[in-house]
Amino acid sequence: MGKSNWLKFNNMDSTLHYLLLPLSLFGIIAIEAMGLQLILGGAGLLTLGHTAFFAIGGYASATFVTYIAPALGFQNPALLLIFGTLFAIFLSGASSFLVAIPCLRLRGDYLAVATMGFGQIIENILYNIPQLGGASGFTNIPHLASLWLIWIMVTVTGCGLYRFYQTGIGQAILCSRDDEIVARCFGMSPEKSKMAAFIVGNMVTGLAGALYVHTFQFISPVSAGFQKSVEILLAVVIGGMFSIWGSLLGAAILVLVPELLRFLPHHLSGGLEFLVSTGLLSSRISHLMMDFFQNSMLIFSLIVLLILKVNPAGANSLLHSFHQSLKRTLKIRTRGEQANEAAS
Amino acid sequence: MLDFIQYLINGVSVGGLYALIAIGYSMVFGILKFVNFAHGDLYMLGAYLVMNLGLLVLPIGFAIPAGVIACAIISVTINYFIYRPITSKNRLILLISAVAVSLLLENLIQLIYTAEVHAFPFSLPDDVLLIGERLIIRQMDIWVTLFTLLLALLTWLFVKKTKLGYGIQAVASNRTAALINGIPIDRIVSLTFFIGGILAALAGTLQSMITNQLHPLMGVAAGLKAFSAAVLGGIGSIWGAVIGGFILGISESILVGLGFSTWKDSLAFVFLIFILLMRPQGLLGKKQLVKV
Repeated sequence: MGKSNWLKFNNMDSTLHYLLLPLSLFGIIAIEAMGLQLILGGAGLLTLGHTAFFAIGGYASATFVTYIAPALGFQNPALLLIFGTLFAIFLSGASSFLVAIPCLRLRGDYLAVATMGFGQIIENILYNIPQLGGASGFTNIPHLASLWLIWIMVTVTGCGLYRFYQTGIGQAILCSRDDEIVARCFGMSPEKSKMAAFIVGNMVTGLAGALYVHTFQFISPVSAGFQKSVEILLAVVIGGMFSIWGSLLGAAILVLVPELLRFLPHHLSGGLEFLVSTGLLSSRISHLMMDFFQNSMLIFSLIVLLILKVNPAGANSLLHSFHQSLKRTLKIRTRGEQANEAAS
Repeated sequence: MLDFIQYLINGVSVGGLYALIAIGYSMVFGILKFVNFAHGDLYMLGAYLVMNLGLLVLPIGFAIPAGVIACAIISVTINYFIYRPITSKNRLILLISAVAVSLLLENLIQLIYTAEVHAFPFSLPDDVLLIGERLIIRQMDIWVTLFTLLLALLTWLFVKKTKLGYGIQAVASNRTAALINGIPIDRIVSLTFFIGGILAALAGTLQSMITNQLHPLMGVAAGLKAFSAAVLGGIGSIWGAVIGGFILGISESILVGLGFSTWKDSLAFVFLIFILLMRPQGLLGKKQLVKV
């Protein structure tokens, strides 16, 4: 009796432990995605070097906590976290300002390529600094963040960005995205609002990077790479790039779907083996199917192409339009009932 | 000095391969005004198709043309089903779908052939030519460079001298005017994707024959660098792409020779950002006015 209780408790504890890291990662990716959402959906700028600023934030905070803070002589973990994060936000904001000066003069495709170039250069620089760990990554970063802190920051960032869209600058950003000439006619400067969106978005991303290193205690130059930038871009597009809450949905899909897909082969394998044994399916195809479900990027790219085909505004707006049409059908039915009642 | 010439020689054949990919990028950009991020993956896909045909023990004279043409057909199919329906709608969506297609191709190849490095069934003879006492030239480098120049010349002649080539030029310079003059735009765009696919697949095959190996992500870095080369030379211009490719290949080789091999991968992007700031139309490009 006692033993089974203990087992049950232990089981629940391990489930919580298992959920801890995916939930933390979900929150961090959500913050990063919100930063990208401001740049991509808000200002209409396609950047392909977004995670470079995530890496800058992470490396900045890690450097501050391991190298700068001991030299300044403070030990308090709360102060370390606060100043490390502020340093990360400052550094990613400053570097994105430097990147923005040349890049935002370019239009559309060229901007995407130039930011991608910057991302590659930053990855290469990180590989070549042995003090920051070089290719093997920055290790042994103190564990300062917690799940609660991350989710408080997600809420703060989400509400902050929601509010930011309602301010004058936010409205100018949206207006310049929709029509630069109209924005100019009303005395707004599209260049300035694009730059504001780019810098604020990257500062938010730097915050995500700082939280990441203090949760996972590790960061490597790969996190600045093109592949990671593409992943987060797809997540934002899947979630819906014109809404802040869409990026939350996108982050959920990016982090939680691979976790769920990890379990899927477990449940599928029995059925597939049965099909193979009856001869309906060759073992090569069943292997391919298993691999297909484990390759989450393949599934993501398919989902993105499908969503772009059906509705360019993303899954969030798909949910929204579904909700609208549901409401409409319900309303029509009630009206029909009212008419029936009136007739009777 | 002799070392310097040696680096130059080593860089030329790498530059030739960049040039081949860059021509395809450049032509598609010239006609649709959009960066086809999946182009680098066609380079990888072409090499894999040729490898697969080679593994079926087909002779090299059949495997390479068949694989290359299959790759070009896939390129046209991607354009027809994915890019064509959204070309006119939203530029942002078009770019994102190109990124998604690129990811799709990489992961499909990883699914089918696994993510490991494969051996390529064909190879080039690696005889060495000695000039003077210390200069070494691999014979295959000479053949690859000559072949690249020949292909560039053929593409240029095709675009400048044939009726189909006039169509490509017309659509690139003014889409609406071309439509009014009865040029079948969809077919011309498909043709451009076909030529781009052929060139990319040939470059991938040559690269795999030189290094004797191939892997699913080989197109990412090569494609991005080749795009930088196309911008460097002036996007939309065939000889610009060739010159950009050779400049990039030779400067990378010089950088490696000087002992900065870890910085090699950044060079293309440093070039890219500098050229975009100094002369956005590239070395050989014509200046374009942005119209309202």
